[in-house]
Amino acid sequence: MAKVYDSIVIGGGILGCATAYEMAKLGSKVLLVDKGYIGSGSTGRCIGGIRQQFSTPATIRLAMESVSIFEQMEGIEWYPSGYLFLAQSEQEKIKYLEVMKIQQEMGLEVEFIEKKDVLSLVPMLNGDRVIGGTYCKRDGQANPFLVLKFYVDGIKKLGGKILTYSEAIKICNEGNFFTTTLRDINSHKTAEFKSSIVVNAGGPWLNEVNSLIKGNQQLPVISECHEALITEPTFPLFDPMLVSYSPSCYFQQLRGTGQIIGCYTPEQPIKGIDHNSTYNFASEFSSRVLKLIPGLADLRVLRSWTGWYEMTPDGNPIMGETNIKGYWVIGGASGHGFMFGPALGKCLAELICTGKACISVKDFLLTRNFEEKEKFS
Amino acid sequence: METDVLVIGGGPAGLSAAITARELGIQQVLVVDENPLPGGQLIKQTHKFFGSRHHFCGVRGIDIAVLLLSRLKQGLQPTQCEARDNGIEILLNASAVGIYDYSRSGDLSHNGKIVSIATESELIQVHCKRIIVSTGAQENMLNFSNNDLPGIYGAGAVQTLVNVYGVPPGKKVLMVGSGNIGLIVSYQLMQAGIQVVGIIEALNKIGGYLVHAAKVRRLGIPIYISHTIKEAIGEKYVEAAVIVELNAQWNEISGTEQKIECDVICLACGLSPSTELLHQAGCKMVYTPEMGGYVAWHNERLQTSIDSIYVAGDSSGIEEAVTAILEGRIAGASCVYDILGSRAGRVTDSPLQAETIIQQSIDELHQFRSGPFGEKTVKGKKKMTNLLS
Ligand SMILES: Cc1cc2nc3c(=O)[nH]c(=O)nc-3n(C[C@H](O)[C@H](O)[C@H](O)COP(=O)(O)OP(=O)(O)OC[C@H]3O[C@@H](n4cnc5c(N)ncnc54)[C@H](O)[C@@H]3O)c2cc1C
Ligand SMILES: Cc1cc2nc3c(=O)[nH]c(=O)nc-3n(C[C@H](O)[C@H](O)[C@H](O)COP(=O)(O)OP(=O)(O)OC[C@H]3O[C@@H](n4cnc5c(N)ncnc54)[C@H](O)[C@@H]3O)c2cc1C
Repeated sequence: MAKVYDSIVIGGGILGCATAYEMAKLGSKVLLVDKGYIGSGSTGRCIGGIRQQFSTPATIRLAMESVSIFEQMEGIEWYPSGYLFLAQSEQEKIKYLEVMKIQQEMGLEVEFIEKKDVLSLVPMLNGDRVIGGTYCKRDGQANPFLVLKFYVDGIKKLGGKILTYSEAIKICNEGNFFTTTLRDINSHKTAEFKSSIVVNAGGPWLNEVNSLIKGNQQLPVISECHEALITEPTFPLFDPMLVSYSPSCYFQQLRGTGQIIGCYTPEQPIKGIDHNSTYNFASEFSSRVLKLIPGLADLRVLRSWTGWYEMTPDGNPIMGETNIKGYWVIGGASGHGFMFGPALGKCLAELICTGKACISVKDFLLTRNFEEKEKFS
Repeated sequence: METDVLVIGGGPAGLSAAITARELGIQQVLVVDENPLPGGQLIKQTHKFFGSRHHFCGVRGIDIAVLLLSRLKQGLQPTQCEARDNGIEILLNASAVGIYDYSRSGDLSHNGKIVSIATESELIQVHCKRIIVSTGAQENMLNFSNNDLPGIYGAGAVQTLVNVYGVPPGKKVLMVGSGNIGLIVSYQLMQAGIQVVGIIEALNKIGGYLVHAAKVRRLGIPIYISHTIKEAIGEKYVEAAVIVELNAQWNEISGTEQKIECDVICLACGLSPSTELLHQAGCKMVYTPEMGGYVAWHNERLQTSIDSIYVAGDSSGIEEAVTAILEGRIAGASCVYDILGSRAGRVTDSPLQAETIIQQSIDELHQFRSGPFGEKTVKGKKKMTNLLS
């Protein structure tokens, strides 16, 4: 006999967890499943940065909503360390100032700071080429694992159920019901679960999960490999996440542990879901960081790893109901899933359970025009 | 740097692998070891080894190391990084810290690997066709209060101090563990004039060979079976230890605590294979308690789930020097077979010779393990094979 739930959420990353938690809060009896452990996908591989400095009103609003949720969560190592986009040429400065106007119109507290203020925020910075930067002190960081734990504890407390190492392998759509078949990764045993709602939060595997349902169209998401690196802990050196375009990289110091963590975006996208980390990234990233902060040279690297960005054509997330009634998707966060997660999950839960989200999400629906690109990808 | 075969760890397994690969005609072999001296565990073993007759039985560990090294190159001067005219280089004071692909999966133009090696001053990048991971083992730690007080050592550290550098770790040693290592190190400490106040053992019988136990008994060292350490006592360093008796279920029997005065607590409670690199490289790992914990899955030719990576010695499962040397031969020969055998049209009999060495050594290993002490390994290796098939 199949067990019955109101909704089944597939994928225990930030998006699946946030959605399941918010649905449970709205009274839905939810089952959250993951083929690995909670956080085994991209979320456990991200570097925990949270910013609101985006270039379109929709993404700025979404990020601001997320920050106000992060601020309320307990035990997640939320810390408003700020994001500092380094301006290293007049052109860069002009671009930042243009976007800053939109951000300020949206009510975001963001400012352009001069070189001396940049250096007082990051005293170790090699300021040779820096002319200033845009800085939002209410951007910040949180620990992805603790955020997931917050949601997991919440889901359980609200009576929801979580199954890990359980892969969705088949979803049948029969009238008003979906029957989802889960396979236990260890024992290979299968079990069936019925629900009237299925949420696909499969992250980089969004299209794989999507293909389990017949008669549905391909989703506009592809996965790209991104690597990250973390060092050993050190003394508190600087607060903000530093974003630089020459050399291209972004990194911050984790408040909780004192480790430096960061990434850069590969010049040529590396499509697919590859797990391997490369020597080239570890050495190239280190040398880029050292160009900006030579004083970190003696810090030892603990490890580097590969995760995945789920890219949409315009760089904005997708969410909403598909052409199959009761089957919803959330994903394609294009490298910003962690920071968007709390708000995006909440909005989707509200759409599903009440029909209306607390902020406008029309720019994230599958039906939108995908041509307008996010400038700060 | 570039090499055909990179051997990580210069213990008996690694040295024997390097010798074999070179003997079979591989152009370049590079051995890296994190220590200032090559030889692995052997260089601290002053006792005569057990083992079969044509495998160094009765030879002291340190002499086995010398033998292997001279086979590697006559009159080897263990200096930093020295190019050797016989095609084998040894890089000392150098730790392999990461194994990477040449390029991401999909691009098959290179199937080799890049290994990053940290020396005291720089990070070196080594490109290689095959890797043999012979990183040996690490000692297990025990949980008890104050186990971070100065004066608490692993048996390996005590051996290194006493046998390699001639430095006494203290005056009165409590040995924890009565396996061969605990027994041998106790004996060596007494030989060096350091008092061993007792050997404690959680099992209800002595773990090591009887010959070794008899030797320490004759010196009057008490062995407490069914006992464990509960606590280390001391302000700045170890001044005493509290030991306690265990019942059949391994629970402490309260009221049986006794305080033993000592300034060194030496832990000899087993080894775990050093497999971090294999894990990081992405080899399939399997948990087999018989072999000391997690090991990289491997076949009889010691190839892991990643074609270009081989294992040998304690890092493939805790055993002994003799098996480490035999495994080294197999891994070395397998690499040769792979590299030369796959090169179509090449006129050489090396692959054939390699295959002969592989089969001979596999047979010898079987024979060697057929005794009562090989039982566990045989069981472990069987279990490992089944786990992934
Ligand atoms: C190196 C790196 C750094 C990053 N840094 C940041 C950052 O600083 N800030 C930020 O906001 N974002 C960052 N990101 C992006 C962020 O990690 C992702 O956008 C986000 O985690 C996506 O969340 P998700 O829930 O959609 O996917 P995931 O976390 O990947 O979750 C999807 C889950 O679905 C499960 N699943 C898939 N198929 C099935 C199935 N058939 N059955 C059951 N379960 C299934 C998977 O196991 C997985 O756990 C970074 C990403 C990377 C790679
Ligand atoms: C006290 C004692 C007594 C023993 N008595 C006997 C006996 O009588 N008979 C017998 O047959 N066996 C005996 N053994 C066991 C034997 O010494 C080991 O089984 C054998 O040394 C294992 O060889 P190996 O080459 O696998 O590892 P090891 O000898 O441990 O060598 C591994 C080497 O790799 C190096 N290394 C590790 N990681 C890295 C890295 N990332 N980069 C660079 N280098 C690295 C290590 O520092 C080490 O030098 C004894 C062991 C001990 C401790």
